[in-house]
Amino acid sequence: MNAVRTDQDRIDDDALTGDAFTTTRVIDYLPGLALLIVVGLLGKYAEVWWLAAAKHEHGTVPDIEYVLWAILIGLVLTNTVGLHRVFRPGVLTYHFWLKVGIVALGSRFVLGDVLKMGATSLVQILIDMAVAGTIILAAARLFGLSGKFGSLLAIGTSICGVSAIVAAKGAIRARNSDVGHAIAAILALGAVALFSLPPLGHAIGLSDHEFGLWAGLAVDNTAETTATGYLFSDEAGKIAVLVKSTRNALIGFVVLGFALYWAARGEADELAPGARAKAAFIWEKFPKFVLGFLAVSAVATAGLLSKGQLANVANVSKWAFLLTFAGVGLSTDIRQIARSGWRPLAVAVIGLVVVAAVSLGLVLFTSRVLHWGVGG
Amino acid sequence: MADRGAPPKTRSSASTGGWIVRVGADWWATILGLAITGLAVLGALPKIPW
Repeated sequence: MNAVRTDQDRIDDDALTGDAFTTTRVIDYLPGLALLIVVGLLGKYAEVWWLAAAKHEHGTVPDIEYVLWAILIGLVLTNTVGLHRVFRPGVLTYHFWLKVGIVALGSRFVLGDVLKMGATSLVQILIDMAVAGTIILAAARLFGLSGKFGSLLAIGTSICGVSAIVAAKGAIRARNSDVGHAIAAILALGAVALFSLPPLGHAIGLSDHEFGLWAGLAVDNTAETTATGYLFSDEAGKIAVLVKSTRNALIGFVVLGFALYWAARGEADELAPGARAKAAFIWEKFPKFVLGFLAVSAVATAGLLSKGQLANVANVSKWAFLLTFAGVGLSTDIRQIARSGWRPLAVAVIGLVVVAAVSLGLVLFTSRVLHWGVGG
Repeated sequence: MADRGAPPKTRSSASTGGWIVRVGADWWATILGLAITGLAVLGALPKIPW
């Protein structure tokens, strides 16, 4: 292994691990931030130009949403001309803009609905996690991957993609190479889900609510979950973010479970004894921006915002998500993903198919048989 | 999407002590989101077009 790591090595690592802030110099963020804005705006106006051009030619074309345009433009840029390192720190702030968007999105939810939906989706999440986790661990063993590599893939697929893998890295003392490959596999699957689930949802005839639930349960990485939901519709995007945030809130519990398992086998550091230490561990892994989301939802529920101001806060959320979608495209490097090898990808594919199938079954059962859901 | 807290010690920010990085994206997103909402409550948030 090389002993000397450059700043660029670290930023490359951050591109995989999902850190939003990779440098302490504010000026380093400006080029990438400018690129995010340009790609986002191009995506937003490409939808308008595309439809206007079709109308001008008296033709009919499918309505390609700004979400897809922003991702595609970023994807093409990164995988053709490449992303110069000067843009990296700013582009990686898309993780931050995603969280800002989620916090501001709280204004579009009544707190009662959040709690009700969080509770009902929690049941679905737990079933999904148990089934998917078990099958992925079995598949990893079948494909000859190490137990810890299997644990990383199970954590990443069943909870929160990259963030969950990174959160588990230290706790289960996983190898860096395993972490890198697991993240690459999860990112690849996120891209597959992004492009396949919305047309599948339309083909199956899912409602906005059902698709939002499905995306929130099935797509691993929060940025891709958000994009997948919004590709279907605004309402589906909103629901997908809520369900995914509930999933994210469970990171600490799941990582704690795996950490205790590997520590019991003598292959990870022992946690300090007592409930207090475990509570501190869970809090450390807890996604704090979820608290911001709940606080904004509480403010909106209390009626402290006028209709016009509610619309303004919701639009802040949309702009933040636009930067996120641009960032998703710009940071998806297909060559980097391909380097992880076929076996982790195969296990991740099994994971995606299992999670997508189980969660779709759960969504249809709870929605059409039990009639669960907001307002339903 | 959990905040991963302090960055790895190998990073240069560890020595320069960047407080922006140390606070983390989760808390900054919460602070910014709440500040925007606070302005909206006061009626001071300008019109945001989409």
